[in-house]
Amino acid sequence: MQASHNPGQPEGGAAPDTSPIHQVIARARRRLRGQRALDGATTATILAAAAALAVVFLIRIEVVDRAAGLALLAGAAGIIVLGAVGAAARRIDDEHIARRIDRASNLADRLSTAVAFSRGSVPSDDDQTHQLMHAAIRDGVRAVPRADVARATPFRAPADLRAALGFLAISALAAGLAIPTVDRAPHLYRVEPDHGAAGDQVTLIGAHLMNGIAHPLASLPARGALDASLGAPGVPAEATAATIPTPGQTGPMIRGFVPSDAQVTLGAGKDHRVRVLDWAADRILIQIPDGAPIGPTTLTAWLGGRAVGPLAFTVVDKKDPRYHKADSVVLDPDDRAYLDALLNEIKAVAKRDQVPELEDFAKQVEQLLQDAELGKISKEKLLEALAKAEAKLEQHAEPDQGDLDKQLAELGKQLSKDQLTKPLGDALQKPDLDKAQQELEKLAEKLDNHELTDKQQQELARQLEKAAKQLDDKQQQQQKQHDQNQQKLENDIRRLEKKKQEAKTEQERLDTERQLNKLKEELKKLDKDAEDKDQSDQRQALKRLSRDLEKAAEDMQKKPDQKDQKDQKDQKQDKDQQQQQQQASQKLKDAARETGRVDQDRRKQATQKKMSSQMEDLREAMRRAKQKGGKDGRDPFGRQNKNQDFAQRARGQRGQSQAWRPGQGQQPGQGQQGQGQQGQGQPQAGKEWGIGHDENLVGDPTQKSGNTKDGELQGKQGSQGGGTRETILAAAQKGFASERYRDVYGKYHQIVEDVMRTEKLPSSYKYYVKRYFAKIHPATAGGADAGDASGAPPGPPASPEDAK
Amino acid sequence: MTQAMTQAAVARDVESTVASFTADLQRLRTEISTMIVGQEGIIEGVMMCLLGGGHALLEGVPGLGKTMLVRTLAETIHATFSRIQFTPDLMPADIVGTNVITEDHGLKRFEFQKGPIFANILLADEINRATPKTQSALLEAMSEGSVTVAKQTYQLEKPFFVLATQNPLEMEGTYPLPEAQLDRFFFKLVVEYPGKEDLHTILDRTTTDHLPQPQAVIDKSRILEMRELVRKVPLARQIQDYAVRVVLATHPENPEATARSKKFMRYGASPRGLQSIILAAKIRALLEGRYAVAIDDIRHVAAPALRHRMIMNFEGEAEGIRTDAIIEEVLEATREG
Repeated sequence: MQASHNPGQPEGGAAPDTSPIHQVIARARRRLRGQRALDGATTATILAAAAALAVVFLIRIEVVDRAAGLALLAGAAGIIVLGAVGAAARRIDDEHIARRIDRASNLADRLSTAVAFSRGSVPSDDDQTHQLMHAAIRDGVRAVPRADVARATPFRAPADLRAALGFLAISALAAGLAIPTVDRAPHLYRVEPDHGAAGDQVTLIGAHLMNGIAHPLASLPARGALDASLGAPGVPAEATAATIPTPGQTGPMIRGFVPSDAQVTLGAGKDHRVRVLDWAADRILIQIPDGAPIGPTTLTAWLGGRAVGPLAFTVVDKKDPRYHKADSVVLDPDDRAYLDALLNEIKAVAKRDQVPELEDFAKQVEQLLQDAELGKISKEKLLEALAKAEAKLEQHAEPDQGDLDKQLAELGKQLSKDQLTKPLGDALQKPDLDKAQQELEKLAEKLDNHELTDKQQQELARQLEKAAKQLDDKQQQQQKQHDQNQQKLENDIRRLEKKKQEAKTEQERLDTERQLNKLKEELKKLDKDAEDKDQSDQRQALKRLSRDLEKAAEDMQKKPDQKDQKDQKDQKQDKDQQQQQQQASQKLKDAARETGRVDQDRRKQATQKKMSSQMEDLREAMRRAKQKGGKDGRDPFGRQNKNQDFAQRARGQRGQSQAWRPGQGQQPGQGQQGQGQQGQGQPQAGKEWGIGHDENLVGDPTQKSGNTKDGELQGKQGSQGGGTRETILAAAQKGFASERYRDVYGKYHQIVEDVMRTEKLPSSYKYYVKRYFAKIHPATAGGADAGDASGAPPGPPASPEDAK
Repeated sequence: MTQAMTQAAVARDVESTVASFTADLQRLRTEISTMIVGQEGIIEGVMMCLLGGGHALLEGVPGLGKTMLVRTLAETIHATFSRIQFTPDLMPADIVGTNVITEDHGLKRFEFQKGPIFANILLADEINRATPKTQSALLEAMSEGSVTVAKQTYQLEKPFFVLATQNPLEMEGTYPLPEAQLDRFFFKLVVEYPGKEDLHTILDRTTTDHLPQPQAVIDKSRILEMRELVRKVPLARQIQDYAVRVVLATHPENPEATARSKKFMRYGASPRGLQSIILAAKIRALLEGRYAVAIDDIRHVAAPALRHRMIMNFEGEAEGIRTDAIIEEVLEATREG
C-alpha cells in the first residue's frame, strides 16, 4: 500500500512504501474483528437468552403459539449473530492497531508513527523533518518482521462470558424444568354430588371447559343478573325454562349459556344426552333425565367432537334412603305401613262423613310422608308441617258443642209448637241438622209454590220470629253472662292487685299473687273461649240462621197489609207482594243453607273427634320417625332387621326380600289349608294347617295396594287345630293368615281397645300397643277393620267410636 | 530513475545524520563516564539539557560529582567553563561582571569587566544560597542568553549552559528559587547517592595516581548542529497529544487529572514543561537511533522535565508527597491514545 502524497512533503519526494505495515495491520485487524465478534456475540447472548426466556414463557402460557414461538426463538438466536456482526463491523483505526502491535512487540511506536506519518498528519515545511518522517516510515517498515501480531491481538475469553453462560443456563432451566407446562385442555374433575336421582341437578366440576367450543368469548354466560339476557345471541340454549330451582338455592337461578356445539351424555357413547342447564369454564350444570337407568354409569362432556371425562356417576332411586339428606326422616317399612293405614282410615272416614277438610288434611300428610320418604324434609320440618296442617284443620272449631246443641234444641222446641214447623223443630231438637235443612227447604218451597194460606204464613212468621228472637235472646244472654263473668273477674283482679299492694306480710303477698294469677288465667281462658266462640263457624252460621229466620218472618208478616192494598192498588203492587214472598222464601233457603253449614261443621268436628285417636297416633308415629344420621337413626340392636324378619315370618315367608314385590310369586302354594293368598297357585284344603306357602305370600308390605290378587281361603276348624297358645305360636312362625288366628286376634284386640279407652294411658304407650296389633294383624283380615271397608290394607282398627 | 536515486541518497543522508548524532552523543556519554562513575541518568539528562538548549538544576548532597560532571562536560565539548559558588553576599555584578575605570593613553574610561557568566558552561553551585537579586541576574542570562550592564547588553557565547545545584539538606539561610525561576530550568535532576559498586569504582579512580583525563570528543559547533537536528525530529500527533494530556493531568482542575493530582496539587506543570518534554523526547529518540518520538520517550523524560514545575498544595507538602509519585501516577493513568 502506497502512502499518498501530502502537501507537506518536499517536491519530488515520494513517501516510502508502507504496505508491509498495513499487511501486518490487516492481519491484526482480522484477529481483532474475530475477538470483537466473539465479544459482541457473547454480550448479545445475554440479551438473546433473556429474549428466549420471555418467548418460552409466552409459549408456556400460550400467549403465542408454538410456531410463532419457534420463530421468535430463531429471532433470539439472530440477536447473537447481529451482535457478533455488529461488533466485528465496527471501524478499527490503523493507528490503533499499529500501536497495539508496537506495544506488544516493543517497537517503540515505530509502526503507529509510520502510519501517522504516511497519512501526512504532521504538517511541516521543513525538508529535513520530512526526510526524518520518511526515515521513520522506513524504520517502521524495517520493524515489521519484529511485529508479533498474535501477541498484539490475543484471543481471550469474552468479558461477558460468565454472564452469558448464566443467562443461558437460566433460560435452559426455565425452558426445561422451571416453568411447569400450563395445561389448558378441558378437564372434568368430579361431579357434585356423585349420585343423583332422575330429575336431580348435578354439577360437573372441571377446568377450561370453554376451550374448543365455538365463540367461547363472545358467548359468556349471563348468570346472576335477572335482567340479563339468557344464553348468548345466536347460540341456542338447551334448556328453555327461564328459572330452574336448584337444591339449596332459595332464589331463582338464571339459566346461563349453553354452547351449541357442546353436550353432556350419560353412559357410553353420545346417545343419551343430558339436559344442560348452564355451561361455564369451570362447571356444567345438568339435570339427570327422567328415564335414566338406576345404577352406576358415567357422565361425559363433549366439546365439539372431543370427549372430556368420563366421570363416574350413580343414578339412584329417589326412595333409596342411603342417598337421602343427612337429617332426613327415615321411615321403616312397618312405620310407613302403619301411617298409611292411619291415613287411609282418615281418608275413608272423611269421604264417608263428607268432610273434605279432613280429606285434604290426609292428602297433605300423605304428601309430607312422600317427601320424607324421598329424604327431602327433616324430622323437624315434618312435625312442623303436621302441626300446621292440624291447626288449619281445627281452625274455627266450635269450643262448646254441647252449648250449641242446647241452643239448637231450644230453637227446635220453640218451632215444634206449631204444626207447620214441627218437623223442623223435631229435627233441630235431635239434632238432625240435615233433616232440619231439608225441612227449611220444604217450607221455602211451599212459600214459592203458594201452598201456604195466609194464616199459615202468619203463623209460620210468628214461629220463626219467636224462634229467631229466642235464639237472639239466648245469644245475648250468653254474651251478657260472659260480660258479667268478665266484669266480675276483672273486678276481682283489681281487688286482688290492690290487696297485693297492701299486703302486710310476704306470705300474704304470695298468696294474693297466686290467686291473682289464677284469676288472670281464668280471664284469659274466658276471653279465649269468647274469641273461639266468636270465630266458630257454627256460631257464625247460627247467627246468620237467626237473621235469615227473622228476615223471613218479617217478609212474611208484611204480606197481609200488602194484600189489603192489592185490592185497591194496581198491578205493580201485586208484583211487590210476590217479591216479598220470594224474599221470604229466599231467606228460608238461606237459613236452610246456614243450617247445612252448621251441620257440615258439626259433622266435621264429630269426625275429628272420632278420629282424634288416629290423629294422635299419627302424631306419635311421626314423632317417633327416625332421623338419618341422628342419634335416633342408629339401630344398635338390629331392631329394624328383627322387625323385617318378623314381618317376613308373620306373613309366612322366610324367602328373599324380592318375594315381597307384588306379582312376583309364580309357584303354586304347596300347603294344604294353605295361607297363601297372593300366589297364583291352586291350594287344596287339607286336614291340617299347611306348612307350605307361596313364595310371594303377602307381597310387598309397603305396597299393600299393589297388583296382587288376594285369594281368600276358609280353613276348616277341627280337632286337629291347636288351642289359643298353639295358634299364636303357629302364627308367629308361619304367618298370620289363618282363620283361627283371626278370631284370636279379634278377641285380644277388643280387650285391648277397651282397656285403652277406659284407662288413662300415655299416648306413647297406646302407640306401642296399637302398632303391635297392627303388626300382628291377620293378613287376610277383611271386613273386621274399618280400613278394609275401602279396600285399605291391614292397619290399626278404628276406635270403638267408629262403630257408632 | 534519477528521482529514485535522489530519494535514496536523501534517505541515506538523513539516516547518516541521525546515526552520526547518535554516535557523537554516545561518544560524549562514554567520555564523561570515564570521569563520572554511575549517574548515567544524570549524564543523559545533562546532555539532553545541553542539546535542548536549556539549563539543568541538580539537586543532591555535596560530593556526588556535580562539579566534576560539569567540568568534564565542558572539557569533552571543548567549551569554556566557569563555576560560581553562590553565597548570600554574592552580588549580581559578581556574576555578570561590572564596569571598571581604566586608563588608556591617559584617558580614563569605563571598561566592562566580564563576570564568570561569560562561559559556555556555568556551574552555579548552591544557587539557593544567593539572594533573589543575584539569582535573578543569573536567570536573566539563562533565559535571554545575554546580560545587561549599565544599559549595555552583552551577548553570551553559544552554547550557554547553566547547571545549577541545590543542597536539599541545609535549608537554613537559603533563598529557595521562586516557581517562575524554577520553570526556566529545562530539567531538574536528582543526583542519587552512588551504589556500592559505583563507590568502589570511584575510589579506584580517584585514590590512585592514575587519574583519567577527559578528552574533547566534539566541539561547540557540533553541539549547535545537533541542537538544530533535535528540533527537526518529527512527532506524531497522537504522541504529542499524549504529552499534552500528561501535562494537563498534573493540573488539579483538569478533567483528566488523577486522584492524587486533584488532592495534592496546587498548580500543574507549565507549557514550558511540555516544551521541555517534547524536546527531551526528541533527543532521546535520536539517542535511541530513531527518527521519530515514541510514547516511551515522553514517559522517560516526563519526570525530570516536570518535577520542578509542579507546585504541591499544603496537604501534599504536609504529607510529604513527592512530585515524582504524582508524575508516575499520571503516566500510568493517561491513555496512550
